[in-house]
Amino acid sequence: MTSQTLTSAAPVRPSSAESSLQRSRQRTAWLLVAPALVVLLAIAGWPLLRTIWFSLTNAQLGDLTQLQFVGLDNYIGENGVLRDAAWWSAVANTLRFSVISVTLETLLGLGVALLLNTPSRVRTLLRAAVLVPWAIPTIVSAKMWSWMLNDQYGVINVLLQSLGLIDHPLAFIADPDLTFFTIILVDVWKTTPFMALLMLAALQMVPSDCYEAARVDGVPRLRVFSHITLPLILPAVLVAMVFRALDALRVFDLIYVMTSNSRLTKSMSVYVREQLVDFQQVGFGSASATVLFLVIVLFTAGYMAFTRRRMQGV
Amino acid sequence: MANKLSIGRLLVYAALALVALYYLLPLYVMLTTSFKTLDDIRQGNLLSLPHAWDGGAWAKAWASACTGIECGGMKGFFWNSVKMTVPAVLISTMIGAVNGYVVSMWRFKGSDALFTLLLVGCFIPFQVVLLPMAQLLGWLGLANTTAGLVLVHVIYGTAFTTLFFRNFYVTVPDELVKAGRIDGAGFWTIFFRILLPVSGPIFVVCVIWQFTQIWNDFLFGVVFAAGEAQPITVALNNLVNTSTGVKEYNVDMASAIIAALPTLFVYMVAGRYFVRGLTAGAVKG
Repeated sequence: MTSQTLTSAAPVRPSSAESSLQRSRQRTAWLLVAPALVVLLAIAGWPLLRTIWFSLTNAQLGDLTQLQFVGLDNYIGENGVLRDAAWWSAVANTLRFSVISVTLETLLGLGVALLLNTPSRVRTLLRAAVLVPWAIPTIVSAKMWSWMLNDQYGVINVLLQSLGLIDHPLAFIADPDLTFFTIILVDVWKTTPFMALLMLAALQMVPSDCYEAARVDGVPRLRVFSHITLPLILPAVLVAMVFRALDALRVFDLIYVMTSNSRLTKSMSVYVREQLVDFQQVGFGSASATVLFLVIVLFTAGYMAFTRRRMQGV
Repeated sequence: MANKLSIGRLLVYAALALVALYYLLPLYVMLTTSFKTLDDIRQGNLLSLPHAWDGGAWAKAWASACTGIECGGMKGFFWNSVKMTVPAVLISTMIGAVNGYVVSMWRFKGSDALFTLLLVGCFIPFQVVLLPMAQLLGWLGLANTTAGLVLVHVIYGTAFTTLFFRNFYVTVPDELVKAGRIDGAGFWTIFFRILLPVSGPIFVVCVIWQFTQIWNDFLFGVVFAAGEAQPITVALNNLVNTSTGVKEYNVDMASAIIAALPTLFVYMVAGRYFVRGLTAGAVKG
């Protein structure tokens, strides 16, 4: 969402002197809320701990009671996940996917947001309509694009051929050179509108007197953008990018539905699912899941450290 | 000057047209194909309009299309999704509101740590908890049930809703709460009488967000709900991948649209407030 709605570890209510009555009231409230929180944390946290435990064993899906403690074998042993070339290729795929798709979505989203930010009657309608791709379930958009990009009857091939741009149909999903590009194409289609909306919200926060002053001074449009608009919306853009990136790092549905377990596009999440479910390697799969979890934690912690530094710096 | 057709302007229009095509083409193809007969699809151009608008594919998609071995159409799975999404959205939003309130009142040094925890909760890859969660649901007797899916979605949705409400309540002017305290309002009175009435925008954001996430979820559905309790996203995948007989693209497309309709509906009804809610959250910051 906007920098406010989604993130900002920032302002905690400034503390004021409180009466003991107030404090005892708060304690009562805590007693009411705490049990619910504890249960919630337990149900959410227990599976995580259990996965970490599994990752230290040689458990198989067939019989989870027969397992032996194997230490860090699943991580750094001879056949450990960190020595598996397929894992590193999944890491590379995920990173490549995240960087390229988030970059494209940010640039395109900014463009769309700027367009939508110019006042017009259709804007209100457009703002709602633009969210349609984001509202559609990923599985639907993945299927839809698979149909359109099919090399035998897909409408994209028909279109490109009739325009004379290509002379034979392209196998967008099967061709190793194209499949990654295809995944990016669909993700950009789906997520750009949401990015655009976040940036639109930021754009609307820019005080209009900034623009008026610039107009009076006859500042060229491009400079207005680079010297006024961009610096003012940059924090919101960064927040949006970080959130998109966190989401992209765990990408699953899109890749799984479009290309299944193809090594060319396999992401970390797809790799983990394959190990756990298809290969039934609970121990090894849990180890890869734990590594994936650590990647997300590291990224989040890095983001937190970054925002804290920035806030102290300003 | 505005009327001058410069090369730059032409390029902008060309780019706009391309973007519009990129966005509208898939929706157009899906919609028109769903109203074509199979003969029409085979003979005609994919981009052409249906010769005669035919609702047969829709009827079949709803009531009699085959997903795997079952041939009852999407309707059962549609209601499964409704039964899963509505309670999960309501419960997680309400828990999020109370959590957010408590957390926003909470002054302590570790609030950064809590915030990090919430963020991790928001973006945890669900593969990480898949297997133990399946076991847990089994022990609770909730395996392969809609109630089990509701539970899982509430748990993993609460991180987001808590975050939303916390960030919203932090921006509510302190004076409001202080005035309430001076008038003797307690913890809950402040929540119900002062904060909830101004929470409209964030409720809308939360409900839309949660609805989209939960209705559109595929992974939890495919792992935790085999057979009867499957949500529509999983059923759609099965329907499309069912390889017996003739491939009926019109039925596939109609089913896909049916699966997407509820979220689209939510956006059409509440989309305006969604944008407003997003902006409201930021304005007060």
